[in-house]
Amino acid sequence: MEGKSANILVVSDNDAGISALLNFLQSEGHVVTTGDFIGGAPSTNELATINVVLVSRATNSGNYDEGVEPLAWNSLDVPIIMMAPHLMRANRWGWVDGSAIQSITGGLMTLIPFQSRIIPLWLDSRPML
Amino acid sequence: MSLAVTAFGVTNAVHSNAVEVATLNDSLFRGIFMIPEGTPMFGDNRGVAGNIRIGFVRGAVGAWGNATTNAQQMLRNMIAIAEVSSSDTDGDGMPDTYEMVNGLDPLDNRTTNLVNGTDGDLDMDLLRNIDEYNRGTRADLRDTDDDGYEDFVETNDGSFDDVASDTGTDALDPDTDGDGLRDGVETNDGTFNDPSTDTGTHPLIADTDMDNYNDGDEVAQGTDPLNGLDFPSGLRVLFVGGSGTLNTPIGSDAGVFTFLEDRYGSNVVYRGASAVTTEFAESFELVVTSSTPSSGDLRGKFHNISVPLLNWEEAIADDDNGEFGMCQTMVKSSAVTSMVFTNQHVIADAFGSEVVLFTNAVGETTSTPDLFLGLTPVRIRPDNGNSMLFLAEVGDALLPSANVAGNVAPASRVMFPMTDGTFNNLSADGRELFGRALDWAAGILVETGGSTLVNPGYIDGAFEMIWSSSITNDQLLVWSTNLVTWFELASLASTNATNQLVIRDLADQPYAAFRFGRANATTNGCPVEGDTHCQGLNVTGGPVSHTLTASAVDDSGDAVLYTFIAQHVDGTVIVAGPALDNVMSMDLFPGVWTLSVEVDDDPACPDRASDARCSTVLNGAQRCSTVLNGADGDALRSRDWTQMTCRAFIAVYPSIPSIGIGYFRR
Repeated sequence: MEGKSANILVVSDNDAGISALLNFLQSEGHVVTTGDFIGGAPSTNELATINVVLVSRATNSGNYDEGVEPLAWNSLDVPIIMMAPHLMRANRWGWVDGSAIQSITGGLMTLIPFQSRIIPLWLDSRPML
Repeated sequence: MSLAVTAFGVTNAVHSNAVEVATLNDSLFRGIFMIPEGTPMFGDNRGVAGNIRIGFVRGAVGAWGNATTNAQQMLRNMIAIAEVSSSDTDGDGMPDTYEMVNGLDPLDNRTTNLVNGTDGDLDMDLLRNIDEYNRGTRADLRDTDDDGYEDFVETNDGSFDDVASDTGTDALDPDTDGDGLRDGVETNDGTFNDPSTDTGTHPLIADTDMDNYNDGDEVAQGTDPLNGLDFPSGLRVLFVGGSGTLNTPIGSDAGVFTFLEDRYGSNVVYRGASAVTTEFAESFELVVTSSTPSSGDLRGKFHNISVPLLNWEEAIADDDNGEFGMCQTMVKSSAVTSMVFTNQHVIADAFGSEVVLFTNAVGETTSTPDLFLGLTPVRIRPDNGNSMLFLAEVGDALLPSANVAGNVAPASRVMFPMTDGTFNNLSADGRELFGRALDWAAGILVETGGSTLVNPGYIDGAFEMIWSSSITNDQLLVWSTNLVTWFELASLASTNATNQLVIRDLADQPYAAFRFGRANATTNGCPVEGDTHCQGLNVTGGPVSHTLTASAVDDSGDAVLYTFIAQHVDGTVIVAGPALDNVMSMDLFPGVWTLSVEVDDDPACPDRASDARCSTVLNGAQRCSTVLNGADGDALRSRDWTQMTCRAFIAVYPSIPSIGIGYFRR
């Protein structure tokens, strides 16, 4: 599946941690802007031209949960791709039901997609949107 | 198909309204999932998803450089999906993203398969796909919020009409009334059958029996949520931990919860921090905050509450806005196992100069540099001088930058040196120290030089205790099993005096547990002045059986509880209630009685209106001056003894040559 060029806002409070990701996105033809947004979610004006918000792995979850941020971020009417597991937790933005994080290391793991779901299906022969 | 990736995953279940896309073969990892627009997030104040949310976790910080081609392709796909999130390619009225996460084909408006269209019903729950989209429910799940009621019956109209067709509950909220019970177990049939499957309570009313305790709290604490006269007892404690909104502590919080119940009785309530409001916390007598929640869910909620509090989340102990303002910096320090007491304090009185706090070396919290102003450190670490266990009493000055009202402590505050999970590593002495610190915060454990209980115990059949009270603080009994009402206790407050309380003949209850404390500890969370007023007490009947009828009014319209008290001139006291019934029958032996009724709307609070009691004096029938010597026993057997004030007799039975001797006293 190939999408059109998107305007992507990458959220990070650690610039060094996102260099490889930025390189990948830019090589895909996307227009990428970055910001840390510590203390509050992006404003309407800041999101005016943004198609997708990508919260990178390079974020300290404590910087995005001082009380009001979870509601502000969750309520944004733009799509969000979340790559930061600590922010997903129930005690941060409440995307998952619990606070434990399992770090998996040691190289390649086997990922088993649910066949009926669209993301892995499109890896193969699904018609393009 | 399988894909090779490096991963860093969340081990928790994703939202019931989300769609798992892929999992690792170790059954732990949930690496990719999609959450549709409109999905409520876990916890209060988390809102709902404003658009599609995709979770995609892999690798550590900076590790995208080793992403496999499969991982790259999946991210490529996610961005493409997100870009078209508002599109409706097949024109069936449902956006592509809704169809994608609900098992429908975004390219088929029923041309290929009828089930994909507007009128299809993929999950066969009697709601059409388009209806599910409009209601925000899942087209591929019969019970979107997994609460036991299918989407079809959850009409969200706020009216419970029928358990099989219209429960009025919210199909997107598993606990519509927020009482800690899932909607599906609240069958509203008025019969409690099972705590996990059928409580019989109302799913739209948090407190079905209106006794001021939520249904979920009553179920968790073993009282009847359908009986307004059966509610939890003991000190009202709120324990704030880190899990979700339901009343279920997890991890080390579970151990703390059990400890609190063992120490204070069944009236301990657990809540995840995100679900707790300041107003809710104010309704308790003691608040305990764990370090497992996000500090953002604790900050700004508790710094001004007038309820005693013990906390071990280091991030809110210091001086930022909305914190406790007790020190400039509170940190997690290196592990130690013991604590040295550096000053004399009642919390430490049970130990020597040093207590072994932990069973093994674990993290603790300390303030550094030292405490603010005149706060009380109970222990100072010998290695660096930092404070560990430290306290603020009511009125103690706090750091202004915390913005506590008046910059003084509104109630007792204790910072205890634990971190996440540390409770499970406390030694027996460590737990006792923890308990004594809680007692002190709640006003149960008095300061050195405070009240001293002299002689509790039974004396000649009556329970009697004498105590002396503090010079500076009013002292009173703050807690007991089987004692009189709270306002009876409050009336015993005194300053710098010797007090005596004698209780007689209270249904042979074992007065095994009493604790003293500061007078102001019992008023926290309760009104200063009660608003329930007695309007009259009428006594009829006699000479033995009397009927007491009371009338009362409550300014707030709350249900009125009546406590009837009869006190004889010889010191005998009979207490009945508190109960909702304003009529009480009492059998009274001869003599002069003072009959009273106390009215109140919340016996757990010591507040009391000045006219909450009505009294009257009854000069009952006199004791018998003679006995029925030589009476005809056969005739006596036919008499109605229930209305006799005389109970002593010597009887001769002509029919059976014998003499009977008896004595009754009512």
